Amino acid sequence: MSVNETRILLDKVSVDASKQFSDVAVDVTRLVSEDGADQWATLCGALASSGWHGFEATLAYLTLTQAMLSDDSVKRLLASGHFGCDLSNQTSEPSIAYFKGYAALISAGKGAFYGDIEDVARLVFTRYKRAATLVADYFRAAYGIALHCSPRDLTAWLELGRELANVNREMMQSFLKLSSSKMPWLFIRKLARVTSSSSITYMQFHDSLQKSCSEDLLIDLQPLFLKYIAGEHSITPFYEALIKARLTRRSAITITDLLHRFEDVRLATALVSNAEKLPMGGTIDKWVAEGLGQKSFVASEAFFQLESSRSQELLESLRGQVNLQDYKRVMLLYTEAFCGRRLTIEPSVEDDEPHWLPHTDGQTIFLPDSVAYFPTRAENFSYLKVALLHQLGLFEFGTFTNIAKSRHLIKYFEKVPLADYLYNLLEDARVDWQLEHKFRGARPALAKQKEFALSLRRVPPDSLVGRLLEVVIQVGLDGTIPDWIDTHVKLEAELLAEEIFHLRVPGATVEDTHRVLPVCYKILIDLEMTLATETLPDPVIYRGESDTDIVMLNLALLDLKEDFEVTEGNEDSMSIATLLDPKNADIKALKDGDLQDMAGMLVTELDVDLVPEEGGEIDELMNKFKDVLKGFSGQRKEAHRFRYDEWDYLIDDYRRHWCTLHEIRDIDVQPEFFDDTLREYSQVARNVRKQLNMLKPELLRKVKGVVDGEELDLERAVESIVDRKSGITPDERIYIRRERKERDVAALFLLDMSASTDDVIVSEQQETPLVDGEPGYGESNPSEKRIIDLEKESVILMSDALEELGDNYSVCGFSGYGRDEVEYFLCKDFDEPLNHRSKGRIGGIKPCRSTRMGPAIRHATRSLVKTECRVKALIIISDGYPQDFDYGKDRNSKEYGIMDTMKSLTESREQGVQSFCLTVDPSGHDYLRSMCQDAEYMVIQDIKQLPNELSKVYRSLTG
Amino acid sequence: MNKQENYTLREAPFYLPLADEVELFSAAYEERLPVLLKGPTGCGKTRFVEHMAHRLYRGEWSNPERLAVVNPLQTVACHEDLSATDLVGRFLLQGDETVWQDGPLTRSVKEGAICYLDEIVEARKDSTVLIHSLTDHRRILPVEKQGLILDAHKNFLLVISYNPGYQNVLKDLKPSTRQRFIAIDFDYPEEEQEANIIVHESGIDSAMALELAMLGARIRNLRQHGFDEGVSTRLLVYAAQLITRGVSPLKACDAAICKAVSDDIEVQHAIAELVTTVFPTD
Repeated sequence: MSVNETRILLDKVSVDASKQFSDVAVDVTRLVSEDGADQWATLCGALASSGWHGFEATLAYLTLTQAMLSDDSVKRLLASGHFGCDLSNQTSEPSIAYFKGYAALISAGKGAFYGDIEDVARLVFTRYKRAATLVADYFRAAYGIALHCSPRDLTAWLELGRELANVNREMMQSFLKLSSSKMPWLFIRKLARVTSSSSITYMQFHDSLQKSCSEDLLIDLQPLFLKYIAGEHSITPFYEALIKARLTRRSAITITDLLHRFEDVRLATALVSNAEKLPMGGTIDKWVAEGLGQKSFVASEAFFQLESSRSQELLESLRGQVNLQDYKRVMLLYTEAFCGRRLTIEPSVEDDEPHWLPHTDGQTIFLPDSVAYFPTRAENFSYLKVALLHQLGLFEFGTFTNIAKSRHLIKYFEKVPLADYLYNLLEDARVDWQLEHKFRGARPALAKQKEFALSLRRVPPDSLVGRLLEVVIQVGLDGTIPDWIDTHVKLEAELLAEEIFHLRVPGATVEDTHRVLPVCYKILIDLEMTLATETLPDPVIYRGESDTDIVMLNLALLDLKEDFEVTEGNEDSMSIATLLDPKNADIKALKDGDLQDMAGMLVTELDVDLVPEEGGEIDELMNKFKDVLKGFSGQRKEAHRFRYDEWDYLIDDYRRHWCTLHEIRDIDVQPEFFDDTLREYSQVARNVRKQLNMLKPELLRKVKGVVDGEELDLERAVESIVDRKSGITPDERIYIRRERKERDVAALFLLDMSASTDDVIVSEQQETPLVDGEPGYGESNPSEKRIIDLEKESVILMSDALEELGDNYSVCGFSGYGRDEVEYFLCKDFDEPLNHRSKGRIGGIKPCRSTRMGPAIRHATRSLVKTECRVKALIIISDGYPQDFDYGKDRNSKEYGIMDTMKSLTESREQGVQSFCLTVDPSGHDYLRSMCQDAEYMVIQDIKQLPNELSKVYRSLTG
Repeated sequence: MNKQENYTLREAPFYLPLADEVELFSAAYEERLPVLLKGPTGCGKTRFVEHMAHRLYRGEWSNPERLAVVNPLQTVACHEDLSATDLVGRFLLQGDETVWQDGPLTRSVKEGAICYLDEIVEARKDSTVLIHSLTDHRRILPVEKQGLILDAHKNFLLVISYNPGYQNVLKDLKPSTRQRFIAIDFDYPEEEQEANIIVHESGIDSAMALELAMLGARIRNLRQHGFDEGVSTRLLVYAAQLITRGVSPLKACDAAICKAVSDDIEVQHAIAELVTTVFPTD
């Protein structure tokens, strides 16, 4: 086709294309032969005719032509045109990309690279002729790399492209999509030499890795990446862990050094995942060495995932971490000694997560679960002690004694939230100063924590009131007025400081705070500021912040409880006192809501058992109680939560705080079940009572060697005579006396409430009718009963007999689903009377879910040990082996559950608890022989014998 | 053991009255009413008796008859093996002879001294029965082994002590015994008074004594945690004495208080933390 003919053709397709063709043709005809020009024109025409967007391909070719002409690459003109036409066999897209990119390359002076690019392009085109977009992507990516990367990078990229093109289309597509000039192509090429897929995987994560880690760190990690991808496990979790870790420069250096010791990528992943919890510095070496030296991979993995007890303990000791749980009793004793009150101490939580702020609700002091602010244990313990001391100071120096008066005073301020907030700041400062005055020994520790707290203070957001409140805080921490205070309020800041110092004098009381508060308030109000939550300064780290409304309510309830308790200790008032105990009420939830519901609910509950005499003392106190609750309503307190370790035999260590056990009191009640059982089994009940009555403390023990007694100790009497004959004053202690032996027993019945206990018991046909006195005589048809019913009935009969015997006992059940949802149902606690409520709970026991025995046994042991009785007995009634869906990594293996249960029973034994397992599972021997010692379990073949066997077991354990 | 003939109250033992116990005791003595002192260990019961004995037998309330009593105060520390024989007397073998030896109660009855039975409930029941005849209008002491009945000297007084919080129910005083005595309650003094006592007994400065007294008061809040008595005034005095000898307050309190009152490690730790709250570290 000649130039003119092509021009005519292009006129019909695109005016722009035609015009540009005409312009370029002038140069072409000048520089090439006529034949060459015609070939060139033919190519332009062919491109234009290749499809709907063919004219675009022509335009792109024309641009390339211009570039080639100016670059003197005319020799390639026709060859590139032919290739472009080939590329346009499906659509114009690949040829457009080809021409444009080539032109850009020439313009950038990098035309020399076209050959290599085109070689690979031909390969790609040959393999994926029909994948026009893929081919186009190739050109776009290739020319991008060529333009922006070094020649070496381009070479690496092209090698990779050639290789991946031969693998499969998906990989090629991913490669082209992810390619960018920012990638380390030389390294990625190395990855591909190991496996092709690893290069794609790296490319997928590269951008995120780059954002998360520094460039230097990624370069340092490259040898590791090469090592790990050669291993048998996926490197993807490792990349993900690195991205999530967001390592700082310092930790990155340490981690990189450490990672070179890790051969297995899974362990490396575990380390990086927990990097933020690890101390950076020399101390970590020891921890890592310990972890790598574990007996098995599973143990090492648990170690680096911070799941094993050994790992956490070592880390804590290296970090100097102090856990509240380890010092809780010391703290409790300290608290009771310091303020003369039996306050409880619990970890501070918010939204079920550990929280760092200490606070109190008037009955409990909440402290951080663990402290690791300082390098040594002594310093961290000192922090914890100061946090506690500050809370105790609120009791010691009258903050809470006068709380009602203070609340009342604050309500008179126009802006109550500001006054309230300011009051708390002033009181906090006053309390600390008074602590320093009164307790010389506390001064250094308080001073240190004030300094630490000051170092953590931030400049508040741009808010005048926030900044002035921050001044109050910092002056209260023995700091000075900060430099960042705005000049135009510096005077106000100084006035505030001056006022606050009145609270610093020895003997300053809460009345002094009442005097200082209005002055400080006025300073702030005169500046016409409003208090917005977002402008409030952060709480002081060791002081925390308490909700004084809750404190006031709790203290009022405690006072009322004491009033009830002193009313001669009769049962009515004791029951009411139990209800009023803030432990049983969710005071936090009582803050908002409707009063009548709560008061009404409680009164209804009381009415079931207790009918206060109208006008009597109890009635009067009940009215007082309603007044206290005015404006509030509530809901029953959530189950108490406890964390327990779990034994993992595979790692030969405990998994720390692995299980969460929920102690539940709010159980569906079925009070009639209890009485019905006693009626139905009246004969059996009599037998059980008779058996247990034999344990009553008429038993006496002999004491030898006393001066008087009922019998003569013959041996000593002879010795005495011999002494006398020898002229030595004889010993008078020649008698034997019998002394009364008292029972000091606590027993806990732990019932399996798993779903399998819902199974109905199949009874065998009786061949001969039963006679009076035989087990089962007069009883209802057991075939209608479930395993759980028999368990309950047995325990009910025992409870009835134990009430007569007088031993202290508890009835509990357990079930749950998963390690975070172990349920422990407290039907009757030690020292709790067997009243209609506890009977109802026992009757309401029903089948639930799984059988995670270990935590239930540990919790039961804890309850037993708390009783401090001499004899502690734990009797477990179950129907199968311990199991739960996540009781061990292998769901099909029973071994983990059995081993953990065995360990928990060993722990019980070590704490002085005698345990016994009764099972109605015919195959119970199979696992019980592993879990328990021979004399500590029984498989009951005939379930109807459970009540009798239970009483025998009880006698043997506690007799 | 000192020879009894040489044991006598030469100096007036220091005692700081906390209430009206001095007046009560002296009135009881005037009427020869037996006295029961109730209180925890180390709160000053024995010191009080010594003090009163000195005042009555050697001090401003003495008379020639009482001055002549060689041993005005016979103190007996009762224990579970203490029998009537130990109190009244026994025959002892000396070579081929049996010689009667008066017990402390008999000596007091004969000489007209004060007999102080400390922690009387610990003693065996047969010894407490002896008390009955001495503490009612009869004022006699039967000496069965000699076949004698002794009339108590007109100056004789019986004083007993016991700690109601320490003994368990089985070892309580019977009502028939209790109701033969007038009772004086003792307890640890208030901080300021206790500080005065500590100053006097140890010579320590009053600021330090106040701090020790404050510490004592706090530790006593821990009664019922394995040491039912709390920390006694005696132990606080010991700590003060160590301090005056150059021992640091922390070490002195550790030895005299922490380790002394309890073997429970956590209780010791809690008390140690209290000590470091009151006293600065070395």
